Amino acid sequence: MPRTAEEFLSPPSVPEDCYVSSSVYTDPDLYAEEEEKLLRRTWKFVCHVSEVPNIGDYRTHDWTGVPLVTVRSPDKKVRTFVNSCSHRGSRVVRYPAGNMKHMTCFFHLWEYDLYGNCTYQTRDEGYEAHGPTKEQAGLREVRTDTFCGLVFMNFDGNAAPLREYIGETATAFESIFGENDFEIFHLNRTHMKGNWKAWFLTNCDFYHEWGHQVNRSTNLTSPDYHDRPWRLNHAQGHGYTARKLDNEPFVVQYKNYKGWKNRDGLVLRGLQPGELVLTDLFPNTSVFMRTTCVRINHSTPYGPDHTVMEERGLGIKGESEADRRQRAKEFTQVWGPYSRNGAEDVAFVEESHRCQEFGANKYDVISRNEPIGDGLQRPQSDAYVRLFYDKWGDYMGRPANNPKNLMTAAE
Amino acid sequence: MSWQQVCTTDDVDEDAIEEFDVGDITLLVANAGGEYYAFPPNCPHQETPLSMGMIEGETLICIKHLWQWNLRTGELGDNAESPLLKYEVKVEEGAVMVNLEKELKYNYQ
Amino acid sequence: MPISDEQITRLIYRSCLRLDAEDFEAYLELFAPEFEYRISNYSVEIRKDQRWMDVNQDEYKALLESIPLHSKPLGTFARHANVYDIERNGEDRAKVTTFLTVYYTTPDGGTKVFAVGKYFDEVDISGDQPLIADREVRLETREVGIGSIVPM
Repeated sequence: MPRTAEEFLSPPSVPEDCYVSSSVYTDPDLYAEEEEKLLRRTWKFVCHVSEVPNIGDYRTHDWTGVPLVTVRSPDKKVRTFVNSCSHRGSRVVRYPAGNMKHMTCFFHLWEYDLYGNCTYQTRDEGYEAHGPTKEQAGLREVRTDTFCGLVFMNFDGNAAPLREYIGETATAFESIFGENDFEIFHLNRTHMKGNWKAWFLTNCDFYHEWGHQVNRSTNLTSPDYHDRPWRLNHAQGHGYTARKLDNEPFVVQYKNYKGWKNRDGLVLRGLQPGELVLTDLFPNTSVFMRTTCVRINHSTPYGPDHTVMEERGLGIKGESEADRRQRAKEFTQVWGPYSRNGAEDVAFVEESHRCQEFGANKYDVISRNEPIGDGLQRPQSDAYVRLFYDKWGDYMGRPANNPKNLMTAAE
Repeated sequence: MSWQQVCTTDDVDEDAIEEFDVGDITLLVANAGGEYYAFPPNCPHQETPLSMGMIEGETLICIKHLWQWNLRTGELGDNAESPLLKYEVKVEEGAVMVNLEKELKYNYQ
Repeated sequence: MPISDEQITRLIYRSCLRLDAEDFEAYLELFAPEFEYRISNYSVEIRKDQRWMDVNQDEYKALLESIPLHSKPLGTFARHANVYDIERNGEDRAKVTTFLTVYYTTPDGGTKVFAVGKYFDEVDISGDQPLIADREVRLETREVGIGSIVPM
């Protein structure tokens, strides 16, 4: 039965933690608050260590509007700096990646070493009277740490250490990353008109697999598809699905997709042929282990409605050209701009945003409940999405179903 | 029309589904482990072409909402909410014969 | 009669027209048996060459046949090609370099450039008709927005 205007504007008749106000995807004020209270206080994925293997290797990136440069310093530690000259604020390092001996601003040629110290001020006698001295003009260093070869940064000096932050969720990938010496072979970036949470939650919402021809044929037809539970890390807001309750691997039937074969070769150590393991780290990093390759997916928001999604593919360092080619081939069957799933996922986010943007869809329903026993939930449950918004509410000090408290104000 | 040769057994690979036209009737023939089955071209649910479906053992799976039927017994499997209509089939010296006395159709809403 | 440059050029243009029309069966008729097809680029970010699609004949055929099952972008793609160079390698093979621009038109009629790059083709000229024996779509554009289920 179609809904009336009143029904349409009212919250869905489900429990309060089972819906979200669409304003969390569209409201500029909420987004600004997210930057301050959440995105600058949680660990943000930067890159894989194989992107900066040598001293002087760097990657530039942005977070909460702040340009950053992550570099391997001469002591081999990976560091991150705010990529803005202490003088007049220009971006110091402007290329996406490369190798450098020092960082020289192209504007007035101030120079910084790879520890962030200011080492040269052009015609420095001009600063003798009023300063700043070089000692006062270093770059702002941002906390950076590495776990399993994944480099993360955090603006918040008081946040829990990275290892503690990842917590027990590490069990899903620590051994696999420990047993394989990974190296990056794929990277693509996509600008999308949509919210960063919507992108991340698409990764966490297995119910959306119904929208993918690949997943319908290779995953959902597996008789034990629904038997691997969500393992939720309530303290930190992470989640993963890996082995089934009986500890047997969940095996994807790739042969069910026309033209594909099952993945029995090049299996990563720690995985079984065909096995699929997925990990979601709050607030926006997903690590997928799909038998022969690893995908790391995260996004950089530039506003409530502009998100740059970035995905990386990892293979084995030093493997033969033929093996690398096969691994990359299997990666790009499912992921990447010309893959079978990539364009579909972006479309899901953009089409939802189109309806949320001007209020055509007031609420996001996240009520799927599929208990599997022992307090666990089946993969197509919204259990993780609810946990995500519970954690979001903790950081923001607002409930996601009524973040601006508009209904209370109206009463 | 009653019994008609629709194809030969060689025309449909094992675990494959092929589409044929006999007069005005379009139908699908599936080879499930060497047994041949014939049925209307679209899923009873949303008219999705079943030629794009999958055969797993004796089971026919529609690729849209994964409605499943046992081709031999007609039994409804996972997700299926209504039965699959089937034509009578017999194989005679490599010819797949189907009883097309009446075209089978679903009452789509 | 040897295959002329004009025949080779027409082959490349036909491949664009047939792919624009999504007439995959006719498109595949332009390829030699056991061909390979790749979409590649150089990633500035990881400082490596990378392949975003890598298929052989059977895989490409299956991929094209499966496109109707997918939620592909709702608009249409149009390819504009210019054959820059044809370099003959004996009597059986020619290397062809073609500049490619792909435009995307939304269902509402708006058009934007989707990608630019080049086709690097190896063309089999040993028979009556030229056939594409190997195609590498080398992209300059690495940010393709929504992406595409349909190859370039």
